[in-house]
Amino acid sequence: MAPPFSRRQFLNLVGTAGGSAAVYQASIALGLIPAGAQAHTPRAELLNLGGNGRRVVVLGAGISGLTCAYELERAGYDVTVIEASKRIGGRNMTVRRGDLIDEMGNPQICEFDDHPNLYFNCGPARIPAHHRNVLHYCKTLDVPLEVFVNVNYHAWVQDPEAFGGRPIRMREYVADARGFMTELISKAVNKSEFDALFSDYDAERLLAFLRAYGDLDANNLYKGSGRAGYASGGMTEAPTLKTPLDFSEILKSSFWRFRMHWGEGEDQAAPLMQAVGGNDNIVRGFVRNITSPIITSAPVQAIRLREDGVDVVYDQDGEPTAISADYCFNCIPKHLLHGIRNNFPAEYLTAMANVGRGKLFKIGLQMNERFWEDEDIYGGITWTNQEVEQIWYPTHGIHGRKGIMLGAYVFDHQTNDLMATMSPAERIELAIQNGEKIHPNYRRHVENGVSVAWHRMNYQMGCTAQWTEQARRDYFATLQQPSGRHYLIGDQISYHPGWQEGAISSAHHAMADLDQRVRAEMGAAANG
Amino acid sequence: MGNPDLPRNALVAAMLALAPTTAGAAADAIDTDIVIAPETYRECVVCHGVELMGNRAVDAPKLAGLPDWYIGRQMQAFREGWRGSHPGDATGMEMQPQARVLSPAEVAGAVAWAASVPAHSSPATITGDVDRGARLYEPCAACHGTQGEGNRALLSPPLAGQSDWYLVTQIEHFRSGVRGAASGDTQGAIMRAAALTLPDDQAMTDVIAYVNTFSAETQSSEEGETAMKKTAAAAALAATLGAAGATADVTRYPLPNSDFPIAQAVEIPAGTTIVYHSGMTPRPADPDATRYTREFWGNTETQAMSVFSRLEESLTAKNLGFGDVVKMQVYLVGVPELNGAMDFDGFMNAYRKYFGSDAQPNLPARSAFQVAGLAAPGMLVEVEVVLARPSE
Repeated sequence: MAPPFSRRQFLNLVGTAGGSAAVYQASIALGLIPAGAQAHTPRAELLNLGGNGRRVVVLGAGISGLTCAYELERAGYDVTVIEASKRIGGRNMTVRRGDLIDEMGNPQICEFDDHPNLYFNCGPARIPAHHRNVLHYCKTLDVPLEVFVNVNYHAWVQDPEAFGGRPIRMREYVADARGFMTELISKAVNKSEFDALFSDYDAERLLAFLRAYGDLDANNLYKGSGRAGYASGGMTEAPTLKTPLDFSEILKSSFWRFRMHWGEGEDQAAPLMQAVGGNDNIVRGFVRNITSPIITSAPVQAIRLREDGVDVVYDQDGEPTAISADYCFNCIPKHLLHGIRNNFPAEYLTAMANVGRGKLFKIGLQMNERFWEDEDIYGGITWTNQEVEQIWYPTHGIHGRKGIMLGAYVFDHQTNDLMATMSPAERIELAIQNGEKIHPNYRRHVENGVSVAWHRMNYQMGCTAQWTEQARRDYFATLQQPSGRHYLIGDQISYHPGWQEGAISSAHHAMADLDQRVRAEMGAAANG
Repeated sequence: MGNPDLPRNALVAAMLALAPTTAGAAADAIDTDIVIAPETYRECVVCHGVELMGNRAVDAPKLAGLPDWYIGRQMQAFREGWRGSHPGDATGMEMQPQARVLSPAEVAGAVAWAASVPAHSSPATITGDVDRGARLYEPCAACHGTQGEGNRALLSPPLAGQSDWYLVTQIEHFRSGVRGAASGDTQGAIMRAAALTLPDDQAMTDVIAYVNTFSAETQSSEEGETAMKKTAAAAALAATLGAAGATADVTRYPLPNSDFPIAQAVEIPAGTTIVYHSGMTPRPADPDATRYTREFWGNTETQAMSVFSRLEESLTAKNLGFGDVVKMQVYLVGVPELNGAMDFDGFMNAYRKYFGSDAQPNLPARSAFQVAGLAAPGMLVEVEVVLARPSE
């Protein structure tokens, strides 16, 4: 029997065969790295080729494409990036005065004042603290971050179906909802069903828990709570509790469905971050540090897989222009790839055809004053059950004169369709009408606005990739694997569509595979 | 995805067939033989695909191979809103702003360019009963041609070589009224009536499966449509379409020695379902003008056009058409320009667009009256009709 490997020897062997990603995975398997650290995709540690001329063509200068260009050129690959749009960044897009919103059929020019605080993140807006890869690049590329307020208990909850359409402070809704729920449960604790489940000790602890969770009094009754905000007083005068809300109105409101728990979502929990000055500073950080050519305004016309490489034809100034590479990393939206000439294998195309095209819509409004700060609101989200669904207050530029609010962020498919059919002016008008139900003087404050229908944006026509569970089971692996020397990448090929972390993780997953292949090729060459 | 009901593997087959056929070419010779869109029309390609070959993933049909007159008319339809306005037509609604954002000169340029793009073949993505489809296609040939080559004189597009999944979707849309029911879409109304004669859903697939057997090389017939051919086509269609008015049992007696477009009499046998339609009045021509002025309502001809347009909407919604009208009463208010007489010629200009054309030859028995006034001040035209419903 051969002598057993030490753990270190084993990891060295794995590393030779599979690169650092393999070491990382194996380390987790051996319990050498805490299991919690598995939550993010490890960055590929690429063998440096020392510029031996392996060519890579990257299609699409979104976050995943830029990640590939940045990493591969550092590892000695000869990289060319081809981007259809005039703008680099894909769906990471921040608009400021004079910027074009390139919507198909509805082009708009941003009319915000020219001021560093007056920008709108049309795409990714929040960076969770566990999105390690995004944060890694922000740090590496010198992109300063600041805290982003996501959930704000001072913001409003509004539903035309509840409380007569009157907006309620989120803190009041949450405190009273919990108070009622815990009081109800406490009434059941001494019933015989509970005796069977709990010891007396447990029951006592449970009641104490309920009192603390719902702010119940000593008799396990909810009589209102300071958590809801006081009706009056609390500083130099004695505080007066608010009268608790009518529980049946709380139930009528749709807020409890998912919005009330929004800040507990994996990617929504505080604290979150944003790039100082606009999230496209991440794009700028990449571009500053990439020396490979990024050819813009060059829509891809054809992709042809070969045994030993990939040929690409793109439109450069009206001329079909060809580029040949050893490998291709492609983050073009999969639904647009169908309109590009290709010779992809059938199973690859079938898989692509089974991923849906999502719809998302945002409106940004320039407000002539930061009226929300007079309502004790600094950052965060007001939720409404009207068309716009959400109103966001900017975290940055506190106490400045003006601000850019998010006036709509629509998840609902049908509303997104409706918004897309409206003219930009009609959309702003609808956003104002919705906003007036929450802030009575809203209209008076709106100076101008932009609307971004991601499913109508040029060279995007969708956001985000829609994976059904069935499609995940049947097709995800097919698309995550390369087809020949072609890698489909981007947030679309991740379990985090719509997140930059998904895009970067997908890029690294693909590059780790490339690295293994190149190591194998070079090993074969050395042996041959 | 807009058409989840159609088989995915069929889509793949289509996509594969679009791939460059350069298998035998040298590895270092990249095939760059691709028609590139002029910069102004690049957006067309984003959805309709390279060389306008279509992209089912975004529900965008193939445009390559369509003639300029048809593309132009559809651009007009989207711009005027009689296509792409129905809430059930999400993809049409996506196209509408795209058509509207272009200037008239750009529309003309886009149409000319699109019509110039050579078509490659689009293999079948649907399967159906071709033999049954061939029988079902017989009336379609009256307008679209026996080989699906289309007919410019009738504004009927070529079908040969087009995206079959798209053709099926459009027949569905015509049948459900998503397309062809809008005021202004005169040809669409004819197509809607035709689509409604298909006996069942499977028939849509079968008839397009038959269309798939046509050679895409068939050219749209651009010339040579004599009046006789047009009339023959219209008559053939009308013979098929109860909805177009040629209910076999209705006898229309022409005016003797006159080409005035009304019938002397119309005879309806027992057992025919009769529909009485209320008087129809116009919509305001300019709702922003001062109420009840001439600017607000328009002149007699404008009002009559609006009346017929509103009638068309109402009839279409009831699976009826102008061809089913057997009796009409016309009420006209006198106008000061004619010293208080009714503007009969103005009314007739509008009437002739709907009655007595090649596409709609059926004439009703009709009376016209001058009246002192209608329901609202300034209204000059009201029309009521009686219709004979085609037998099923």
